[in-house]
Amino acid sequence: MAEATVIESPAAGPGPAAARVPVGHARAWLRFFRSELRQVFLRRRNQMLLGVTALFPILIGVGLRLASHPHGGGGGGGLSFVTQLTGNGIFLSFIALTILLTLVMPVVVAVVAGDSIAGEAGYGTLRYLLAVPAGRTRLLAVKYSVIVVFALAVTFTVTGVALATGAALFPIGPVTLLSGTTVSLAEGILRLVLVSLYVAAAMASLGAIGLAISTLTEHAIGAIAGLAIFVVASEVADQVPQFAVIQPYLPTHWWNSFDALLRAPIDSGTLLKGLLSFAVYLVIFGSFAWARFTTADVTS
Amino acid sequence: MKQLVNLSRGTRWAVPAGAVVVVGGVLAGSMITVASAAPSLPQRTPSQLLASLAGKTAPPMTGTIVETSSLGLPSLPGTNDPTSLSSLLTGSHTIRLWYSDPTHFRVAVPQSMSESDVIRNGSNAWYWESTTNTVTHLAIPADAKAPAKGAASKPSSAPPMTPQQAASEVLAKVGATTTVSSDTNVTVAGQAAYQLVLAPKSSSSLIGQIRIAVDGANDVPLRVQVLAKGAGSPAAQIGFTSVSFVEPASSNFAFSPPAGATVKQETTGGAKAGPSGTTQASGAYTVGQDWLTVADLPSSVLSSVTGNQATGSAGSGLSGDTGPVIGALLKSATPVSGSWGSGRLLATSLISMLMTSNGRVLVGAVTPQVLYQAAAQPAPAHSSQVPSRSAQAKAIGLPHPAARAGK
Repeated sequence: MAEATVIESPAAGPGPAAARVPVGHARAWLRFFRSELRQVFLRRRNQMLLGVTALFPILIGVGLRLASHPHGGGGGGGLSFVTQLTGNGIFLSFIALTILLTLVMPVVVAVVAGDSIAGEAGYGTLRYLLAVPAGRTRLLAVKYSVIVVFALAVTFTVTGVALATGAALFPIGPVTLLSGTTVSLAEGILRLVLVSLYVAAAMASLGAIGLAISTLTEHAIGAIAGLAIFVVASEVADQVPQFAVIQPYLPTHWWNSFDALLRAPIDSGTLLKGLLSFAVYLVIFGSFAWARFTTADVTS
Repeated sequence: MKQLVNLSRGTRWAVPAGAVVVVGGVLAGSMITVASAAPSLPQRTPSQLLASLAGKTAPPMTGTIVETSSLGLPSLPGTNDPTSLSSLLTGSHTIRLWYSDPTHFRVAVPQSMSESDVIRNGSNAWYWESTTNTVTHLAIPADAKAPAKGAASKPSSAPPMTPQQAASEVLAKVGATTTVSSDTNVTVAGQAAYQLVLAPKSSSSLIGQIRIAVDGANDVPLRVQVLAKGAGSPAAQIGFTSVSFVEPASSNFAFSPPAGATVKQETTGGAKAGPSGTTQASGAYTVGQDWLTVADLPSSVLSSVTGNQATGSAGSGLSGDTGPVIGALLKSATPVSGSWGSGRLLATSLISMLMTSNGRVLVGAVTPQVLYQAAAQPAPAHSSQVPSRSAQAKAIGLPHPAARAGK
């Protein structure tokens, strides 16, 4: 895998350089974005990460199918979704999201976000990228847009695969919400899409933190590990009762609040607080990344 | 973009620094306005406030209530389980309320990835628990005398669920034993509110004062705070964080058991005790009156009160926290003895709890001396039996509904 990345990266260099052709700003932007997008999604390592992420919902689904009792239940372990799953496969999506949100999805996003600037610096390709006239601000914006797309891809991979697995292994039908209200399958799937978008927003906000860390180092692995440690530290602090006062301000605190979308009526207050938290982290770390990246000396 | 590029290095760093300052400022600002604003309202005496509370039925409203308690108890196991009483003893809990009238309301207790609901819709009451996928249905005859109470006492975990219930229980204590005064107006959940202050006259009570914020326009209690003697911040608090006085959509009261859920049927008669309440009620007594009321329970009652619903299989992993709870309590209790006998005492700023060696548990918001006096008396003499729910309310330090009967 290491070989593949070494070979691929220099080859991708000319892509953005071609954007030099004096076309309209927007089109140049778009071409740059598309080439970066291709680079991230065609990279073997990232494809494997997405593939492994897609395996998890299948494993969880098969495991729960084998463990489930004919009478329902099965020791939910605190997740009421698990009790619901035997009656409705759509809940596998929510179960998979809840489980994967703790570590797998953040780490996958961290790999792409942490690699975004530090990786280029490490391979020595960053200065070629900076030859593009619009310079560092645009490069940063494009890199972040790609992270957002990747966050969406990771989230919808999980929900999509989980939905398909759930439909294959369990019956599917009208959805019982956490409040005990039953909605149609179509509305249930609509809510699942909204849940996925909320989770993707959480991952995109994490990506901004990763981008900021990535501008601090030339070692991609350092940025990736740094972000992963950051996530775990925040999750641990979120579990310690003595930190109750600061918990609402932790970056990971609102990730699981997507359950607000599964109540009737939707608990929009909680959702908005979560989205506000994501936006605040995006602004602070995004502007930090910008200030750092546009003032740093790039030598590699 | 060109201008951005031309900024000096220092100016660029000002952008993230400015973002941090703005966020910090907004956070601090929101806290300060909550603390300092004293809205002006037409003058009212404490007794006028009391009367306005006692006389009226609450108007329709929708809101979010947050309950917090920091009683100084040791951290108890199983406090994440919403169905266990020990979960109410520590930390903070959110309750969503839709209230139309006493026979049409819905109370939801959202937890992470789960929810419990109490829904009253005319002659039907429902208790829904998403963790166990269980519905308890209670049919209430149309001529039932105090219908709202029957429904509200259904859930096994229910201490006063709304500020209204909490306030009416507090008001039952007002009398010769209590100093009633008012304090500066406050803003609660964006509403201008009067503050009514009740303080016990007895020096043996651990309660310093009970502060009730009463909505200036709607005469609804918005917040109840219980302060320990000499404490500056409340040890227990229940209040709205957001409220709007509009009629909630009737769809909130419509409930039908979802497919696949376990449905239990109850009648009003059975509701008084409840499935786990039958065993709880036996052997629980109160001693003393008003602020000095002490709950006297056999230690087995403590077990069932702390949420041991289950020796069964499914879902029992959640609520079977009895043993650990008692263990945690005993660990932090100190051994005491006297002419009354011997036992272990757990004393917090607001609550004293005495577990005697002969198997009695005495709990009250009183000094340990009062508990020793109660322990000196033989168990069931001169006392009145109380329903289980009162014992629960007592256990978390809320005033006792049975005190009303005692007067």
